[in-house]
Amino acid sequence: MDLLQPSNIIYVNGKKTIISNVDHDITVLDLIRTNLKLSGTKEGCAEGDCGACSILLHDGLNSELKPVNSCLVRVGQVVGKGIVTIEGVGNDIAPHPIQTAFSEENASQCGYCTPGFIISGISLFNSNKKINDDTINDAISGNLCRCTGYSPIIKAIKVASKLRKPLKTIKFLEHNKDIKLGNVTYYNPKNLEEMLKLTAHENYNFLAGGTDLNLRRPIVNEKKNVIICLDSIVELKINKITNDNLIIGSCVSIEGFLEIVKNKIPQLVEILQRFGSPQIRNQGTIGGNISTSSPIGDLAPVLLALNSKINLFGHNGDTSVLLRDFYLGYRKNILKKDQIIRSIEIPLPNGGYKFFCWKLSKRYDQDISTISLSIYLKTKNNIIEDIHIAAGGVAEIPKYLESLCKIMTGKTIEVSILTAINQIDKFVQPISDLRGTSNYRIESLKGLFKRLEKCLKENSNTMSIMDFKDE
Amino acid sequence: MNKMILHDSSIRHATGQAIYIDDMPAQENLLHGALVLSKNAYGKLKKINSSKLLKLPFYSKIITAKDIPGENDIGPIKKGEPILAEDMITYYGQPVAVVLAKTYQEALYASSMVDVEVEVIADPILTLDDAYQKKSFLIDPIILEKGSVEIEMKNSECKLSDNFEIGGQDHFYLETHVALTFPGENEEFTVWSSSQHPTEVQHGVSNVLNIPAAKIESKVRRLGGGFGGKESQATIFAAISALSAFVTKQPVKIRLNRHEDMTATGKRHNFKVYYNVGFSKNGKLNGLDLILLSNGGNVLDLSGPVMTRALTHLDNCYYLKSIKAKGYVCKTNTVSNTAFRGFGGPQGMLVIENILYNISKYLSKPLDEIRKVNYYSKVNGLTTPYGQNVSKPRINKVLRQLHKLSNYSGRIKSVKSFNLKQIHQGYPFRKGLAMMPAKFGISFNKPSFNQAGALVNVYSDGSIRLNHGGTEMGQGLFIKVAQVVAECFKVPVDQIHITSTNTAEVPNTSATAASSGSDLNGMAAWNAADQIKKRMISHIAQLFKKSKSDIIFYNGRIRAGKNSMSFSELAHSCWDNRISLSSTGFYKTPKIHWNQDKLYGHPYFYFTWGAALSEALIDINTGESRIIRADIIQDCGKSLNENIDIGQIEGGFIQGLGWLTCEELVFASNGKLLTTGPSTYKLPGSRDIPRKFNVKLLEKADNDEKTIFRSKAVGEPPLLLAISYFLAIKEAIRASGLNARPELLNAPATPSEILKSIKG
Ligand SMILES: Cc1cc2nc3c(=O)[nH]c(=O)nc-3n(C[C@H](O)[C@H](O)[C@H](O)COP(=O)(O)OP(=O)(O)OC[C@H]3O[C@@H](n4cnc5c(N)ncnc54)[C@H](O)[C@@H]3O)c2cc1C
Ligand code: FES
Ligand code: FES
Repeated sequence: MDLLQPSNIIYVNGKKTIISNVDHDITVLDLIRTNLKLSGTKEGCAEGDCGACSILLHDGLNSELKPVNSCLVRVGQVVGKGIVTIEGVGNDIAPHPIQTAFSEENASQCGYCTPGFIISGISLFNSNKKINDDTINDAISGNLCRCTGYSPIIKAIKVASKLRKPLKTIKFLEHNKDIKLGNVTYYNPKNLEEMLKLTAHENYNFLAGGTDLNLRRPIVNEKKNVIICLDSIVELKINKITNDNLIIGSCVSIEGFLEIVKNKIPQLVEILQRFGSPQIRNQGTIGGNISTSSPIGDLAPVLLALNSKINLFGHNGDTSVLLRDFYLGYRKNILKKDQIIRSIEIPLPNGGYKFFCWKLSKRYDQDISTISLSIYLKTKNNIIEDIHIAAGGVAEIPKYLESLCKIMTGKTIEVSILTAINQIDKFVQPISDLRGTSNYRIESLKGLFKRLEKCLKENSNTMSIMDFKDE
Repeated sequence: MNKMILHDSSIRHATGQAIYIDDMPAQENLLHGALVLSKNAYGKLKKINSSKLLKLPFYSKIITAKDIPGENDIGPIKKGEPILAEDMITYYGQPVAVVLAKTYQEALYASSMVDVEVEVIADPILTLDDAYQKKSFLIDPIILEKGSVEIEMKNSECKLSDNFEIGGQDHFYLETHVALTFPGENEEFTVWSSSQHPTEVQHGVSNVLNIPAAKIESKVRRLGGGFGGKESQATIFAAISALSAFVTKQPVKIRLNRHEDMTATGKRHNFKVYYNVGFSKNGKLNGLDLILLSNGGNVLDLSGPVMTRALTHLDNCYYLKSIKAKGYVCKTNTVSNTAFRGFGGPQGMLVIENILYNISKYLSKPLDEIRKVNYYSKVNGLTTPYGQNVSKPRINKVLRQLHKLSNYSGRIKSVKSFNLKQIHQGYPFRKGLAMMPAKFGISFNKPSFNQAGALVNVYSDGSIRLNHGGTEMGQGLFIKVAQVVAECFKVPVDQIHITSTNTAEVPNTSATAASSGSDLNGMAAWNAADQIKKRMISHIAQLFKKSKSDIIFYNGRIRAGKNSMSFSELAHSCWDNRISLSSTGFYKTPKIHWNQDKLYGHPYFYFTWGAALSEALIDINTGESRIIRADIIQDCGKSLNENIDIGQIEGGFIQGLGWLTCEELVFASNGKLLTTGPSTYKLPGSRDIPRKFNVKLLEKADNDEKTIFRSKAVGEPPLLLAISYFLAIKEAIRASGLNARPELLNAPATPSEILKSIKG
C-alpha cells in the first residue's frame, strides 16, 4: 500500500499546524519544544514517569481530552489529531482559573513540574469525575514534584475546581494519518485486512499505545523502518459483554478497560487504578500489556487466575489460546512476526467464587510491581474446592501456579494456606533485583497468603493500609 | 512587610512562560552535546574510538580531554577533579567525551557510537566496608573528640554496640543539569547554567579554558530545582559546554537526560555507622564511640565539609559528655557524592536518633524519656562537642507548641490501644508514633564562604533593579531579597525588578547553599539599598532644608515635613542633582570562627530549632507503610515570608521522607547504577504525603542574632524532621510482635527492610 498524500497536519492548541522539517522519528515532546518552539512543556525523564511533559490529546470528533506523556508519544501517532499544550491553557495576561490558583496557593516553587500538573488538573476538570482528594490524587499520580511536597498542588486544584472551567476543543476531521519521518513510515490501517497487507514490508513493528515500544525504539533510524499502528483498526476496539464472558478488543486502553470492568469485576479496580498513571492508562492498551510478556506486567496475573483466553490474528487467520500457554520466556511469547492479539476473553467471576488481586510495590502509585498475586477460588464449608493462583514478579514470566493450586485444593482454608506458606519456595524462586530481594518476595508472598486467610475469615475483599480508614 | 507575598515567578510557572535554559530560543548555529559515559568502574583509559562517527549521515564532532587548553580540573576544594576522564576511569558512567551535533537526537545517537577501551587493572571498590578495609580514603579521617570515651565507657552501667546503614539519595531536581555557552569576541564567553554557584562556574570555565575570569560571564536566571546537586557539579557540565564552544566557536548546549544525570552526577552521601555507646540505667549518655564511613565516591568534591557537618550535628539536641567520632570519607569507584539539602546534617542526626532509639528499646523505655535526660540544659550542660555554646536552647518552647498542635499525649494512648486491638483480633496493621526535636546550625562551616554581594540600581523613573549573588531554585530567595529592598525604600515589591544572577554584576559570590541564601544576600541587598537611601535622604534634606531625621519613606512616597513626593519624583530629582543612584552592597557573617583541624570553634552564627511528630501505619504481612499524620513546628525566627517558609518546610519534609523510605539507589556488582530514572528510583508521589499534615512556624520566635529582620534560615532543617517518621516506623515494627527487631532497620525503610526487621 502506498502513501496517499504525505499527511502532516496536527491541530496544536486549536491551530491547524503543518509539520515539516522533521528528519527523525521524534517524540511529540521534541516536536513541540524544538520544532514548534512551545517551551512550556518540559522534559523531566523522557520515560513516562514524571509527567512534566504532559499534554492533552484529542481526535477532533468529540471533546474528550486525554492526558498523555508527550515524551512517550511519537509524532507519527498524532498526525491528524489535536494536541493541547500548556500554552493552549492560558497565559499571564489571561490565565485559566487553575493557573491562577496554582499561583495563589504557592503550588509552584521551582516551577518545572507545574505545567504538567496543570494539564493533569485540567483533564480532571474535563472528565465527568467528581472532584475530591481521591480523584485529585489519581489525576496527578503520574506527576512528580520534588519541591512542594504536593499539599499546595492538591489545594490549588481544589480551589480551581470550584469554577471547574473545562477546556474547549475544536472539531475537525482528518482522514489521512500516514506520515513519513526520516526513515520511518507510519501506516494506520483501518481494518485487519489492510493490516495484513502491510506486513509485506520487510522491516516493521506493530505499535499500539507505544508506552512500551517507544522506550525501546532507536533515537535515529539509519535504516528504513515501518510502523504499523493498530490504533485505527476497528476490529481491535470491539468489545462483547455477555453474562459470563467479557471479550475485550486488544486496542482498548487500560483506562477504557477500567471503565468496562468497574462494575463487572470490581476487584480489578484497585490494580487498574494503580496501573501507571492516567497518562499511561489512556495511551497504553491491554493488547500491548500482554504482548510485552513482562514478568511484572499487571494484567497477566489477574487474567491468568481468571483462566482467560486470547484470540490471535495473522496470516493463518484467527486462532485462540489459553493465556497460560502464551508465554515462552523472559519477554517472549508464541506470537509469530505477523500475528497480533485480536482480543482477550475473560470468564466473569462465577457467583460461588471469590477473587482477590494484590500488588506490592515500593510506592503505591505509578510503580511497577515487586510482586503481585491473584487468586480465584471457591470454598464450601471451609474447604477450598477450587483455586486458581497466578503471580507476577516470581519468575521469568507471569506464572500460573498450577502445582500450588493442586496442593491447596480439597483442604480446609487454614490447612491449605498453611501448606502454601510452608511450601511456597518450592513453587516460586524469585530473584533479587532493584525492586526487592528474593527473600522479600518470598516473605511477602507468605504475607499475602495470610492476608487471604484473614479476608476469607472476615469475608472482606481486601485488607490494605491504603483502604484503611482511621478516625 | 507583606509576609504573604507570592513567589515572583508563580504565574509564569503556571503558564509555562518561565524560561529555563533549555527553553531559551536556539540560535541558528547552536550545537547540542551528548556525553559518552564509561562502561567500567575502574581501569586505564586506553582509547576513545570515534571512527563510526565518520560514517553517520549527519554532522557530528567529538570533544575529549585532549581538547582542553587549560587544566582539566574543576575541584572545588582539592585539585584533581577532571571534567572528562583522561588517563583513568574511576567510576561507571564517568564522562569520557562529548559528541556534538546539530540536533539533540543526533548528538545522543552519535554518542552511542563511540567506543571506549578500558584496561581493567583491579576490582573496583564499591562498598564502604571494602573501602574501609583497604584504607581507601579521600582525606585523613576527620575526628571529633571530647572527654575520655574509654573511661566513660568503662564506667557505664549499660553498653550497646551495633552498626547500621544510611542510604544515599538522588536529588532528582525536575530540571536535569544543563548549560549553554555563547562564545563572544576577544575570548569572551557567556555561560548560562543551572548552577547554584555561578562564581564557581566562572572560575571552573576560566581554569579549563585558561582564560581570565574577567572574560567569563556566568549567568543563572532560575534552576528547575537544585537541592545541593547543582552546587559544585553544575560546573562540570558548564565547563564541558564552554570547552565545546571554545573548540567549535559556536554556541553549545549540554543538557543531560535523566539517565545521564542520575548516572554521572553525585548524590547524598550514603553512610555506614559503627557505634559503641555507654549509658546509665536511665538512658543518660556517658560515652559515644563512633566510626562514620561516608561514601565520597571517586573524587573529593565537597565530601570533607559534608563529613564535618555530619559530625557537628550528631549531638542534635543532646549534651554529650564524651565522644570520639572518627569520620572516614571513603574513596570508592562510584560517582562522587556531593551536597544535598542538609549537607551531612541529616545523616549525623539520624545517627544519634537511631542510637537513642536503640537504647530506649534496650531499656524498655519510651524514647522521649531517654531524650529528656540528655537534652542540652543548664543542668546537663550547654556546650557542643565542638566548643560552641547553645546559649538558649529552644527545645522546650518548640516541644510545647508541638504538643499542642498534635495532641501528642492523647495520640500516644490511641496508638497503643489501636495496636492492642489489632493484635487481639489478628489483624496485620500496626501503628507507630514518634517525635523528633532538631537543632540545626546556620552558616557555612568554612568562614570565608559566609560573604555576599549585591547591586541595586535605582533608575530616574523610580524603578529599581536588583541583583545579588544568590540563585533562585524555587526556594523563593529572589522574592525575599526583593522584599528586603522594597522595605528599605518603602515601595511596593513589584517596583523591584528581579534579575538573573550574573558574575558580571556581582562578583566573587558564594554558593546558594547551607540555607544561607536570604541571610547573606538579604543583608547585602539591604546594605546596597541603604547606601542609596542615605544619599537620597541627604539630598532631600538639603532640598527642603530639613534635618535628615525628618525625612520619612512611606508607601512609595517620601515626606519631609509638609513636602512630599513620589518615589519616582525623588529618583528623578536625585538624578537631576547628580546623586548616584547605584550602589553595591556587601555582607559578611559576624562572630564565626572555626578550627577545622581540631574541629573546634564557633562555626554557626545561630541555630534553628524544630520538631515533628509522625505517625506510621505498617502492614506486618507485606512490609508496606504509610505516613498517617505529621505535625511540625519549625523556628523561622521572624519569618520574611510565611508562604515561602511553609512551602520550604512541607517540601523539605517530604523530600526527607523519600530519603528514608522509598528512594533506594541500587548498584550492580560492576558498579553500574541500576536506578537511573523515575521508573526504578521512586520519589514520593502525592499519595505518599501524610493524610493529615499540620505545619506551623514557631510562634513568638525571634533571632537573638542580628539577621535580616531577625528572620532565620529555613531551606535545610525541615528535611531532617522526617527522621521522626523513620522512628515511627521503628515503633510500629516494635509493636508487631516479639521477634521484631527494629534496630535492624536500615534507611531507606523500604518494604523489604521493614519486613526483614519484623521477622527479626
Ligand atoms: C511510566 C510507565 C508506567 C507503567 N506502569 C505499568 C504498570 O503499572 N503496570 C503494567 O503492567 N505496565 C506498566 N507499564 C508498561 C506499559 O505501559 C504497558 O505494558 C502497556 O499496557 C503497553 O501497551 P501499549 O499499547 O502502550 O504497548 P506498545 O508499546 O504499543 O507495544 C508493546 C509491544 O507489544 C506489541 N503489541 C502491541 N499491541 C499488540 C497486539 N495487539 N498484538 C501483538 N502485539 C502487540 C508491540 O509491537 C510492542 O512490541 C508502564 C509503562 C510506563 C512507561
Ligand atoms: S518527561 Fe517525564 S513523563 Fe515525559
Ligand atoms: S515546583 Fe519544583 S518540581 Fe515541582
